[in-house]
Amino acid sequence: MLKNLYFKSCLIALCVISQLNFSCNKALDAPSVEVSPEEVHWQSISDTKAALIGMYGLLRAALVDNNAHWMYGELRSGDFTSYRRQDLSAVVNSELNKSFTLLEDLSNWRRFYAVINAASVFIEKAPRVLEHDSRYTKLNLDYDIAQAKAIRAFTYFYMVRIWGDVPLITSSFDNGKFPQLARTDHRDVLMFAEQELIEAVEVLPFRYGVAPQTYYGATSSNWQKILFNKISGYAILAHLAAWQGKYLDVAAYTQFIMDNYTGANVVYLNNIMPSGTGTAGLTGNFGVFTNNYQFGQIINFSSAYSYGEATASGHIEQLTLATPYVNRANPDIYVSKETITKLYTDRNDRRFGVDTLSGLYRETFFTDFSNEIPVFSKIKIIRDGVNDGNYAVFGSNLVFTRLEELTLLRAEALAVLGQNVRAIELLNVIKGMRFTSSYQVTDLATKPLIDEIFMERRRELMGEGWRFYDLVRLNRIKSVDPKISHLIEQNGIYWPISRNVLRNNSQIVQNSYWN
Amino acid sequence: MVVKLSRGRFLHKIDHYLAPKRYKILALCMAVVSFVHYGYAASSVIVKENNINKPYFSNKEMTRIVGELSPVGLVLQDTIEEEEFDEETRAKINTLNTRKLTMDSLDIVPIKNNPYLAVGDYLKGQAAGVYVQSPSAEPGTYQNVLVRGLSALQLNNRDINNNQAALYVNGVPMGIENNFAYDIQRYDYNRIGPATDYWASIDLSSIKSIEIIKDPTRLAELGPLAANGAIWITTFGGKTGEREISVNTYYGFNTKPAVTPFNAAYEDLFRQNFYKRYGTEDDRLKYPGYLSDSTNLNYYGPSNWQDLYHSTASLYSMDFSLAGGSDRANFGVFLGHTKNAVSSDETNLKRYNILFNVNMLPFEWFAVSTYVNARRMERDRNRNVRDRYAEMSYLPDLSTPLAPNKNIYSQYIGRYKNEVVDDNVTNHVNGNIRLALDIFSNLQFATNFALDYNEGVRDLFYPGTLMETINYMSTYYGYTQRFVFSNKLAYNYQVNRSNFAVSVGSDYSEDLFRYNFARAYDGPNDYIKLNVVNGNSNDGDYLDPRGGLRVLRYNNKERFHLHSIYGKLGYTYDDLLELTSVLRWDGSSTVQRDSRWLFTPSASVKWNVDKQFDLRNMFNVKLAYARLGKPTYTSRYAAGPQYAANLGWSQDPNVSSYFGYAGLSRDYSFGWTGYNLTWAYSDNLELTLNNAFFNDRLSTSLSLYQRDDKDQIALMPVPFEFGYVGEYKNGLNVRNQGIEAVINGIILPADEEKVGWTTSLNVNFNRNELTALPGGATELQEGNRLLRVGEAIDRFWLFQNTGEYRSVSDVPVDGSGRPLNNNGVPFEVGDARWVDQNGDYIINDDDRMLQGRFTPKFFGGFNNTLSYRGVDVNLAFTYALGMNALNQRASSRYDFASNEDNNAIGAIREIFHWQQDIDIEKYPIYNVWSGTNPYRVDQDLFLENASYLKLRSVSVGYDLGRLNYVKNTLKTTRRAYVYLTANNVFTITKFTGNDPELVNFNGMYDGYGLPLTKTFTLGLKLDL
Repeated sequence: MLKNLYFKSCLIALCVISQLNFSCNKALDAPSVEVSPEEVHWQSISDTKAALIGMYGLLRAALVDNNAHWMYGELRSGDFTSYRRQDLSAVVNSELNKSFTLLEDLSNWRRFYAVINAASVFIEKAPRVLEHDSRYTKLNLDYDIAQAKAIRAFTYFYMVRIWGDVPLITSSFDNGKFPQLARTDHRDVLMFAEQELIEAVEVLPFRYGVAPQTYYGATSSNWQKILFNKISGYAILAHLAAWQGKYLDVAAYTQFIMDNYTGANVVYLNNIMPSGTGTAGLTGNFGVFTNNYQFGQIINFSSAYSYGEATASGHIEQLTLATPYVNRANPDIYVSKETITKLYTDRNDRRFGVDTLSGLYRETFFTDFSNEIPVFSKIKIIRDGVNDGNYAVFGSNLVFTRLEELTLLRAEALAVLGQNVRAIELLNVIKGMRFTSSYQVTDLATKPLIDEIFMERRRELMGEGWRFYDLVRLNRIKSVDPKISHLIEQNGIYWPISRNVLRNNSQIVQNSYWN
Repeated sequence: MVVKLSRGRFLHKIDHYLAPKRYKILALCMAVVSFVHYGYAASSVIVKENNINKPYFSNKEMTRIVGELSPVGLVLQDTIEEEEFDEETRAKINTLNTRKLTMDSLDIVPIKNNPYLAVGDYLKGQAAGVYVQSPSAEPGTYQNVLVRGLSALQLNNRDINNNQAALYVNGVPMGIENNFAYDIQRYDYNRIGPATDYWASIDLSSIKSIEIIKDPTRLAELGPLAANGAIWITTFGGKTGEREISVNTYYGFNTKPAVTPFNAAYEDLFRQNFYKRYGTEDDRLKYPGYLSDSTNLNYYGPSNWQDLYHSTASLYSMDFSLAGGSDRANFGVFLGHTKNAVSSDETNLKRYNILFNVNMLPFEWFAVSTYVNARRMERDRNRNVRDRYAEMSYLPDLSTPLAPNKNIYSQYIGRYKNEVVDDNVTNHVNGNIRLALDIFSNLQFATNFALDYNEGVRDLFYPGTLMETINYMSTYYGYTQRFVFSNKLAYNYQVNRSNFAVSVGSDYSEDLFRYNFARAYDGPNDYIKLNVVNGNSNDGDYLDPRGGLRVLRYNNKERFHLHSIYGKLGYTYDDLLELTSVLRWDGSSTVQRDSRWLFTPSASVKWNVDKQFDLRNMFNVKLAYARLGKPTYTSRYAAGPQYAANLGWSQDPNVSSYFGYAGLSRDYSFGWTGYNLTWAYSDNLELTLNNAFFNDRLSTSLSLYQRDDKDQIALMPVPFEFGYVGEYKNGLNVRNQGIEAVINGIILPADEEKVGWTTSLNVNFNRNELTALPGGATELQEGNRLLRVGEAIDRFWLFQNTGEYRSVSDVPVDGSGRPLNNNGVPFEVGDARWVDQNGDYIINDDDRMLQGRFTPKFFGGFNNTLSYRGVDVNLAFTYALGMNALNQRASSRYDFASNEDNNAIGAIREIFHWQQDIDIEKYPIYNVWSGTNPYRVDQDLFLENASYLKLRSVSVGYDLGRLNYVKNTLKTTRRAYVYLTANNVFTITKFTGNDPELVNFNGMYDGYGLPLTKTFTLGLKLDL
């Protein structure tokens, strides 16, 4: 019996060993649960959806990292002053080569190129899904590719505004090869972007998933808040042209927008602070900056609290809010009282004004005007729009452009082209909405129209990342500010290129102004 | 329906649904194996009972069974015919403690007189070639045990996994804590979860022996898990013979450190230096509120916070062990409880330990043994504000610090004690079951199943009163699970004077790492400390939190499977010559499929010179070479080109969705992972000379080693125009060279009437060098560090500071009249004077120099034991020389202006920052508002010599068992040893910070390490 047992145990042991060796190679397959490898990707409609969303998400990340959108567009030479932060003062004063981490990070374009690479990968690989998944239609693919092209063109346009010449890379190089490419003349970059956009706007719809159809399982009320549509495409085209001074093109593109914006459910924000979702408005918890806004957006990046994307960083509120909204004594940046009183002269201005009867202020854009440091309160979406600022994460949208902005851009173009009457009409659309007195044709002699249009932009678009670019455009039209004109002449409007970028690619040359 | 679950359990429950399968299989395996064996034992009992037809147990026997501990062992004893075993057979049963100890074994007896908690503590200065980094004295915090230097980059906390040695407890390799949890953290201060070092769970009292395995061929036998060296711990276990009982206990206290506290008046004086010289009107207007009002007694009153922050802490330990058994079966049981504490911030750790070992020899040719060790640790952690905000990843307004006044601080502490929940628990189980068969007398088969499981649970709640009105809760549940299944067939063949030993074997191990983490902000009030969710799985809002909580959930899972097949050939010629060779094939799940298997050879030759020439003293020479694969604990390299949900940005790295939809893209902020990533490996070469002199009264061991860790994966820069932060590539090679010398001497032999003195000195020299970078690159910039081929990998990259610009004329001007500038910002009066190394009148990265090292060039220990008439005195010194640290604490103290203005996490002022903890004399007064950042940490102004010599431990003991009184009252007493120990007696160092040991793993001294203060303990070891 012992012998028997002995034999049996040996047998069992041998069986165990052989079993193990059989299964060993299979057991060594323990793929990562965190990532999706190339082999299994681009197989189904969910892959294209995720990749499409990924491009928008990366673009949002590029725009909000270190509050880049506002650093580039709003702070530099803008109306805001830094309360104590020296790095922000450096941005305001265009001392962009100082030894601050923030400046170093802001001069690195990697995140923008991540968007461009993701778009190129998408354009190259999404067609594969057509073969694998019958739920993915040609129309769907066309929409997706058009968006990818629009995103890539937008990103190039955005980068050219910051750095001037940037390397133009139009394919993904998705093979582990990373050639060193030199900077391309910004005109060629913009020409490429324009071409791509012209192709894209042909395809891009006004609305995605209009019932009974759906787009990736959702209808237009969902997608109108975030996706690039036909109007978005034309808006980018208009700005691209405006940046190059091609105002004829601007007029043409904005003409299309003015004729067709209703198709994308885009409306004017007549109400300064709506009390519900029924009316379109600018500020407050139902305005264009919140996820509660129920109308179409033109170019908008969402950070909805309800989806867990509200964060403490990456929103202008991080810099501008203080007591009484959040638990902070002083904001990082503020608009000084002198600037406010200089800008908002009309006492009826719904954005900010002094009510002469009661002596009170209309504090829509600025709160605590009686204090030394007023708080910029135009955009203040705490969480999903609550009044309790204890837990200060912000759910505000990054609104790149809206109809009022494009209206003023059109007015600018028409004014440059000499069509003053039509320009004034458009300008007065905005003035009317904000209850300020209209610009009269008779004012042309005393108040130059172009100045007035830019002044209106300054008042209307404060905190939305336009001021610096507006200054550049204005001074290109006519030299108003010698400092900006000097920067334009010396190519100082461009940011320095990060030392890390230069180190990793020897072909890149620093912007001459910062040498 | 709403169910309330305790938060830890809630995650537990989720996990229960997600990953129970593996457990079931494991449990089943264990059950089957034990069933087979215990079933066999039971059946043999029944057979016997039937044969002789009498009741199996008499009442008397039953009483005896209750008296003894192992019923299984007893059954076998009583039922199988007792036959005397010979010595050789008897040896088979003792599977633990049979290891032959080598020169690399520690002298464990004197170490046991110390209240040490973690493995790193025992090893400091005790073992040649081992250097231990311990950034804080706080019990249970992470330590890093380096064997023969740094073999991989170590720039942040997560990197220690690449360098730390492996820990084997009774042959079971302890799992590591995967560093993937750092991925969701913005700050690198603490790991989420309990962050308790697994290595603190082993009870020193349960340890029988510790050996450092460095010998290449022995490491080769252990395989890739041991690529960074191995610490081999054998615990107390079953023992054949008389029943033995031991009781050990100690009680001690940790004393308060000496601090020099200050209040706001001092801080104000400090700052006035800067405001007077460089401050503008505007700067003065924005002077911090708490400093500007000198009538505010909270800040300007007495600074006596230290009375509450530091208080003498008591520590204790007690354990009980029992062992006994027959030739056929024996057992050992160990029970222990320890509390360790330090005097700062009421931090402490409680540990419970139970260990059980049974060995059986049912037949001469068949041995079974099993061992299980379960531990639990509960930790009270520090109350650092920084760590709290880092955990929350939410920074409120930091402009007003905690007041240095005791009364104010006591309110704060009171809230902490009453309202905060901070439960940190880790549970550990490891064990094995081993079957050994002698198929023939010279052919043996052994199979071993080992399990190691470590889990951590943390429940956290911070009330709104502490967090400026918002409260915060988080729960963490994570574990590391490893099982190893090994089989080995060994054959032995003797011809004349030659002996051949051949063995083949296979090891298969699976590691599973997992965590579930949820955090929520701003709950309804401070009384609800629970995450209340909807528990009905049919509802749409299943598991949604109630009460307006915003819950963010994170979880991740990682696996590492390793399969190894190896063969070992051994040849011995008559005790003169030993030749060994190990050949291995290792397959890893974390390496890409086409290069998954790695073949590694190794060989060694040992020549016993003493035997050859018939010398009286020991003398042998050994030369060994081994190649070992280095494991990778992330499966991402194996995936090749990949897509991930990573849509975050630098301040919020966790965002993975856009508008609620998961977005996938190439993982640009992780880096490009190509198709050609392969194994990294380590080439070890060692020459050892063991010598003895004067009739073995003096023995020396000298080892020369060279270790090349090759083909390691590094993130290499690529042009940023493709969006990637870099590209992962093989090819980083690090070479460690060193000499280890151990001298053990019996200066005065122990004798009853004379003083005995034994001494042991170990001297280690280590240097490392980066020998290659991927793709032939010569330099790689990693954050604030630079790696240059030909230089050590642990150097700092610093500007050379030569003082201060006192006048405009001091600033050098280039040919065209442009002053020296820092990336375009000209230097002005009050700026730091940095050497323009390349003479281009621009101070930038090109002017930074590699300086210093953060691991020591020379280190070791010096241990002495003196004895006289049953009294013994032990002295343990430890030293490290040729090591530097960068004083980040001083840098951030001086850089107050930009820290505070930016509301950065560096601006946080802890309560213990109200003390003089830096050398004020050392630093010039620069313009803190300058755009050149004069107090930047990366300059040699903050580089310090962190060499030290410490008397770590002094203990005096006496064996009361020698006294007749004790002998007579407790007849079975084998030993009754009482001892008194003092730890951290003194330190000799030039370092200006608190302690040169309390430096982070990357050489940064941030002043956050809790101080190592004197500890006194009184203990008793009773063996019956």
